[in-house]
Amino acid sequence: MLMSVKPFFTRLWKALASIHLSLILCLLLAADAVWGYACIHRQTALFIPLNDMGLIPWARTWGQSAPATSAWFFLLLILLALLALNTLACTLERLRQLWAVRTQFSLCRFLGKLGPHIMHLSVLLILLGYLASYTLAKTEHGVLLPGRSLDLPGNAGKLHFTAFAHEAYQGKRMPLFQGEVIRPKALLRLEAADGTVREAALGFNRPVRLGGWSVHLEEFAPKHSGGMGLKPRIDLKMRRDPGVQLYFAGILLFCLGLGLYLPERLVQEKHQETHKKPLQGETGRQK
Amino acid sequence: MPSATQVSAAASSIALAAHVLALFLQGFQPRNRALPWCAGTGTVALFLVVLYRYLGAWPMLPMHLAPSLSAALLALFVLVWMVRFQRQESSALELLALRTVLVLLLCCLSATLFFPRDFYLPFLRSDSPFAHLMLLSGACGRVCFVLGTVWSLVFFLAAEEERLPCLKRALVWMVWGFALWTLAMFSGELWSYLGWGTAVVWEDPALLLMMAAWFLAIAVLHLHFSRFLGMRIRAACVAACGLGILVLGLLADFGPFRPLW
Repeated sequence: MLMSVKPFFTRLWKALASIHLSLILCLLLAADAVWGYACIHRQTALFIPLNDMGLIPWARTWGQSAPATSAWFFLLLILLALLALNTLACTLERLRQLWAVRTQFSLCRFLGKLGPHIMHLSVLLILLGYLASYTLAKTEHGVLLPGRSLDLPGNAGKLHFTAFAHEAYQGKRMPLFQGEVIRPKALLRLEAADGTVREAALGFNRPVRLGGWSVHLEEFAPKHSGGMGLKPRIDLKMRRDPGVQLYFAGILLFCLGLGLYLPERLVQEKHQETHKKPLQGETGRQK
Repeated sequence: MPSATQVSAAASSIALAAHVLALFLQGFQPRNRALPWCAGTGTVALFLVVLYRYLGAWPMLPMHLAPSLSAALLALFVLVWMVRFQRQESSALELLALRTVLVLLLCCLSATLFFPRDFYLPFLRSDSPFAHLMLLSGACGRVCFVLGTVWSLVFFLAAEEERLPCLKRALVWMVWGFALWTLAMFSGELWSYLGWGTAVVWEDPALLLMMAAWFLAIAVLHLHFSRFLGMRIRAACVAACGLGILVLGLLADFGPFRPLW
């Protein structure tokens, strides 16, 4: 029994590590993403809750409510899972081969050859980060008025809205923005769970972090400087996302891998140019 | 004062006319001294569009500027290439590649002119260095993809002994395109996280087209590991994927057909 199982797993591993599987998956993923574009374009509202709800609650409610429009998304998940397996198998297989011949290369050359594998592993890290983000992240919303405070969930800290400072547009290039607030800035006092206090400015693209939560500015008032505008108010989105560190680490690693791969690739091109060598895989074909 | 849309349309028309003339002259007299002047006029007009729209939206990001910026960068590349042709001997293959780039540039310019989507106002969250980096590296990536596609198309018109260098050039441009496109995607993710709290914002379907183009680029880069595919099939795949990447990379920035004025 064991004798028959081992070749099966070997065959499965080889099939998973196949470059042809990678090519097919990439083409299928591209086609699925185009399908997704058409679906989101037609029915954007269906996918907006996915930003906050997380994957499983969304799949059970919104996802099931319109299977024709959300089918591409579930297919995307399956294809990404297959791509992750394919990438893992392929990378481990090639890393094993590279390690066996490591003494043939100088350190620089070896690092260059390692570049693509670092990129592949970082793609796995990014996918893992997304998975953690869409399954484990918690999102809360809140509104703050000047002088009021808001407790973060689980007593992780307290936000106190001290003042609303903003930058209004005063130029003449965009008449429709004349006098409009273009850089909202909410001054906050952040009290951590251990009692430490610090000041921070919250704005668009400028979140603040406290007690493991990131606080983002969603909306604000007044939109116009001067006149009888609305009373100052900020709408907040608070997220506790364990996937963020993973996918940002993945992005950094991918950039590192790319930085190692590009010089290696160019050196390889120059070398092939000098020696008039055919492309990889071409020799066998020509014969 | 004319609106940004009117200025864009006028300058893009000038650029289109100048590049049509350049393509026409190129066909008859490849070393004509007027050629760089034609291409130069078109390039300046395109950069004026970009500058005008950027100044109009700064510090925010002008909406749907990608086709104009990509066309401007491609036109700049064409101009440099033409100036080089004036100074040194060039091969027939390079001339052919230049003509193909010009044809693709004209396609892009015509689409920008007749299917504009650049009339939207900028939005406050686009005031981020990552948003600007995403636009710039995305546009540079598209230029590389155009060049990769062109060299893979030229492959089919080249003599047997010149085919391999064509495919190699195509793949090198594709590698650079992939690197810049990835940088654009990561910048977009960072911007999205800082602005909305999540790396993917599902309101905007354009990100899926960007992702589709990225997967096609990955497929192109992995093609040379496949030992079953011959050079000709590989070149055809690079050309098809390259054209696919260009369409997907620009589709979200084009609107419905609109008459010029």
